[in-house]
Amino acid sequence: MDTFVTTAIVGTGQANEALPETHTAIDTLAAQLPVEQKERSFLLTAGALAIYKQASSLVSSAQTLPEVAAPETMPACLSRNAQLLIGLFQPPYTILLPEALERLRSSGHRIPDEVLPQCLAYGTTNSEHRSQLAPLLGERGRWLSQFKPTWKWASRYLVDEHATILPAEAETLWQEGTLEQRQEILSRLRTQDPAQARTWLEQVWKQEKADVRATLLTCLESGISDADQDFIEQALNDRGESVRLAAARLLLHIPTSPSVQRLLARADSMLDFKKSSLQNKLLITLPKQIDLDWKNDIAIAKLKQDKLSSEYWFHKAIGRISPQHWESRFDVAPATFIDALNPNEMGKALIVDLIKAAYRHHTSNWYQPLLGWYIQHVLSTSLQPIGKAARELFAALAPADAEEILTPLLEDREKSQHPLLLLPAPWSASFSDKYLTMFKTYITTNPNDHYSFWDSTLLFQLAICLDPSKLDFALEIASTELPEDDTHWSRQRRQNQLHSLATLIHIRKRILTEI
Amino acid sequence: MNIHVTVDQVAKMAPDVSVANAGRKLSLPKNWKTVGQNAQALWGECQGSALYQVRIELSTLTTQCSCPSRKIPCKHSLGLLYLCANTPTAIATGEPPDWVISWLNKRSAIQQQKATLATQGPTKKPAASSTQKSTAKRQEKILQGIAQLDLWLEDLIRNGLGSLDTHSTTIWHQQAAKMVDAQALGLAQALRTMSAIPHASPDWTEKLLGKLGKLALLSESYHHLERFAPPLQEDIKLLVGWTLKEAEVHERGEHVSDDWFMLGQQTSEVERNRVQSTWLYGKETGRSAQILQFAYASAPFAENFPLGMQQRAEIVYWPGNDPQRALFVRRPDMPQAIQGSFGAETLDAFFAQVATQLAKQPWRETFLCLLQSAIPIYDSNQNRWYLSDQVGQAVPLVETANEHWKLLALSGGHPLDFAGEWNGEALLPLGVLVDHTTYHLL
Repeated sequence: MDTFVTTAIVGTGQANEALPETHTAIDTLAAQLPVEQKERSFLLTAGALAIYKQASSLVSSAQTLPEVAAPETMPACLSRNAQLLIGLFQPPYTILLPEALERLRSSGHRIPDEVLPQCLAYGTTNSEHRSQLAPLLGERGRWLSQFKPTWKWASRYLVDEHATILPAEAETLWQEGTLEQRQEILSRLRTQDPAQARTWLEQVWKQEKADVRATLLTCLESGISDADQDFIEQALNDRGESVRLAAARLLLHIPTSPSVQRLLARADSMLDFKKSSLQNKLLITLPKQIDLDWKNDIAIAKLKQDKLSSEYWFHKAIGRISPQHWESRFDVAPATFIDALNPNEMGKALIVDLIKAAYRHHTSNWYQPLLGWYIQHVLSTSLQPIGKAARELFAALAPADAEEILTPLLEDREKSQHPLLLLPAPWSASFSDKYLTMFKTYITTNPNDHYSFWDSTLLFQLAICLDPSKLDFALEIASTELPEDDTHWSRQRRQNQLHSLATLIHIRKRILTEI
Repeated sequence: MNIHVTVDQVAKMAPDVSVANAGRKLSLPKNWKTVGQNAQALWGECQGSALYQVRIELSTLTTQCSCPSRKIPCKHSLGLLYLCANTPTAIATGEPPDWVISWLNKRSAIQQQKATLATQGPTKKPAASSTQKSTAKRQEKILQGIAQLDLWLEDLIRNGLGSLDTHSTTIWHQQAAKMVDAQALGLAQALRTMSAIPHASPDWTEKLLGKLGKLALLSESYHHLERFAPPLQEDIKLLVGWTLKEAEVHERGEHVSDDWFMLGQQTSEVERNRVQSTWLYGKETGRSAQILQFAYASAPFAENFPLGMQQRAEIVYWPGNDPQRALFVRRPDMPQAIQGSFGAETLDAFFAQVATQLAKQPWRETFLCLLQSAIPIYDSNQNRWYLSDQVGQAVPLVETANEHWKLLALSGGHPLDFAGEWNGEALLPLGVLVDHTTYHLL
């Protein structure tokens, strides 16, 4: 600190007769000030010095310029689209984002530069959208992501239109890349050369940490065969629990393995199918006493200790075994087997197990009968939460088949929310029309209903599900003004719900026409 | 001609976030009846708890709505502007209804009246002797106040800045109150500003000393006003607290017509008073101007400006030496996208401009910084932002909550033309011109 400032801090009362110099050109001026007015002269000198410094502001040349972003290969979308996109990063409009991004990708455009910070921030907190966002970030987005650790996910994505082709630097990425990149490389290699992929993993196995081993092991699910059995069986004895569980899940796809054979034997001893001309029956016999070996057989991985009941392990077993096993063991068609659930008191729980099993083993010929039974006997009689597996099965069905299964639910307004959760968007024009007709009847004939089954999040889903040709019809319904004489608080809520729905539909229309 | 307005510009016009959000919800065509526009205005009727009539004069973006809201622009006015930004096709060109014509006529008559007043001065001037008397009385009060301020400043520096209480800001406000009593409002404001400096940064003593010194220079200058040229006398009087009425500014200030780039805006708050600063740059004259507007609490500002656009307009500067503060006289034309380049080639050249301005008006605190081919830099190790010129010299950017990611994204490491406000320590970005074609507000 220079003497001039020090004098100001301690006070001129403590200073010598002569005031300190500033060691600048100001001193010449200061010398003309009256010495007897020490404080005044000091203040005027300080004022002049401040202006002097302000006028000669120093710049720094020490900053390193960043590397420039590489040239773009895709054009940015129009500035009007940029304005539209910015609005989609705020709830409730975020539900429209996937469709907007997909349209942007199809049109061969990238996200414009000014929207990139919002985009990267959104992808950071919403990892499920990263795979859609990453290819649209362009070189500028990947360049920008290097500056913030939480944005690094953007540069880790292998952006490639042909997701199964290995990039030229595949081996380097496998050796030196991030975990996400290594997963991607291993999965791609697995689709091309499963044995080579397994060899790569075996070579690094001992050097990796347990959680990395578990993550990479799951990549072997694609193209899994008997050839992988030895390696996976070894992983069952891994010291890491996450690795053992991952190996157990993989082995389920190798039915000839001894571990799966033991699982099947345990399950077979508990479930039987009794044919009858009146009503086929499923007979469930739970063991009275079970030990750790018995549980290990179902878990496949070794358990340290376990206090769960035999009923829990029974459901676990059914959820792990391919439904085709029951088809061949009892020599019955899927529909016949599922029909036998009817009289069983555990039927509703078993259907969920079977849906999980069908989803796990991609047993597509079971999808339709399973979902039909599920809709008829579970969803139509209760408001049981819908699991991920059921949604995935609906997504795997042909849209017309899925819509046909769900159509009966439209007759009951309390159940009509389920298609919004189960039926993937976009719906067909005819199903959209049926749904909207039901919805119109509902809000016009039940104006005082407080829409308890239509919470905002669910209702907003309608905006993304409808066929584009039905959006005007939906807008007409959403523009319905509810009776003014209804002064109940819930009227305001209903009106706000409809208003927000109309806004979403309007924005979706803009997405469809402008992007 | 249709108005060209963007969502960003509309959002910047909103008095607060809640009004902006409410306005956005009203941006659907279904909310509007009899929507239309012509060369002068945009209008529409919005169904709320009643049918509200909204009209917007396009050249000045002045809004008027029949709703009872005290926030201006209200959500209905913003809703109509959002509709215009999002769905321009929803607004047909046509003849305005009577309620729009009558409003436009009324506005035109008021503007005419203002223009007449501006050119002729007030119709009823108080008697010269009475004015002289009150001026002399005020001058006496101010001189007494300044004498008292000088004593206080000298006491402060005699005892040393180290003796200042760590937390209390009382002494600054007490002294400011004395300056208010002395009718030296400019000095009072300067003292209030200083209350935030002690113990706020490692080099606060140096900063405070500079401010106190400049205040002493101002009081000294006021004592010897006759030594300065008339324009600088105007500056000194203004800084002390002699304000001018708008009509006086019109009468005595310099009028300049140009295509003005509306480069950006910032609003600050001091004790519930909001100050809005809008920076302009004249395409033809190369001059900068700062439009200041003041409002108490949530009261609206009087005028809206099409930020990020250029508009042919006449402004008038406050009288002074190398004046900076100005107000609009006329904005008859529609705003357009900014066309053309601007800025100094290097930071050295910009600071030479700063030095020139300070030589003419030494108390100036903020400067419009226009820099060609500038590159933003983020030092991730120290979490600091900089702006570099094309020869590699750099200055820090102001630390803000939102940081400067949009600026960095727009640059991508490439140079762009930068507009910002230099406060003597760091640059506050206002906007950038990318590829010499598109201006983005920051």
